[in-house]
Amino acid sequence: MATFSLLITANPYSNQGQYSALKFTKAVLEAGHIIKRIFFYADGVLVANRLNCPPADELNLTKSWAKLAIEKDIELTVCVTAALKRGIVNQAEAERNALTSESIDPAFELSGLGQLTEAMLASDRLVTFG
Amino acid sequence: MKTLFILNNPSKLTTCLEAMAKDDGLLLIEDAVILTRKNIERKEISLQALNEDVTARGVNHTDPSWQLINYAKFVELTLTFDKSVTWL
Repeated sequence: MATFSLLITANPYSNQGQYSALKFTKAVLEAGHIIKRIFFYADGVLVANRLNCPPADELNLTKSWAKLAIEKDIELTVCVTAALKRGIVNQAEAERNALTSESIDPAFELSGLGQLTEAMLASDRLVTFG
Repeated sequence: MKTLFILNNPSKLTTCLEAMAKDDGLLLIEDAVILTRKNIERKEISLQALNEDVTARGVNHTDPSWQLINYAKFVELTLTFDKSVTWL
């Protein structure tokens, strides 16, 4: 049994990276391994926006990650700096920046790059999807 | 230290190969599965491609030196090597 963390920088609607990462995560869990943390960085953070409304005949990546995180108790960590630049904020950041509402899906959590470093140190493997 | 290089962009192949050492492995995923063995000058490196992405693109790989794998094997492969580098 091994411990994995993932770094995802892929834009959810420009290429296949998020989809590949989702399938890889499921394969890791099916093989009986552990997912320590999934860290979203750069354009990858766009998937954490709870206001995303993809067409009904396309996979809803935000909901897919959220469902997996809840069912399997996985940490979905979003880089706060990358997220704020792209309008993905929690309640505290919305208030701090005088915005009308939060926009992050509740299954995701804003945090710093330190969480990526910690995940790398605490995992046997880090696999990047960009 | 053996490294698994994961390539998803076919136009980055040349720089990826330059960065690879003798015992490293190359896994082609996403758009990079359109590459063929002919594109890869270094014959000594182990070469694999993600079957699901190959099928999705209608590519027909018949080269026996080319191994098609599924996601379960992809996970195993990351553990076979000491680390993985996604060549973006």
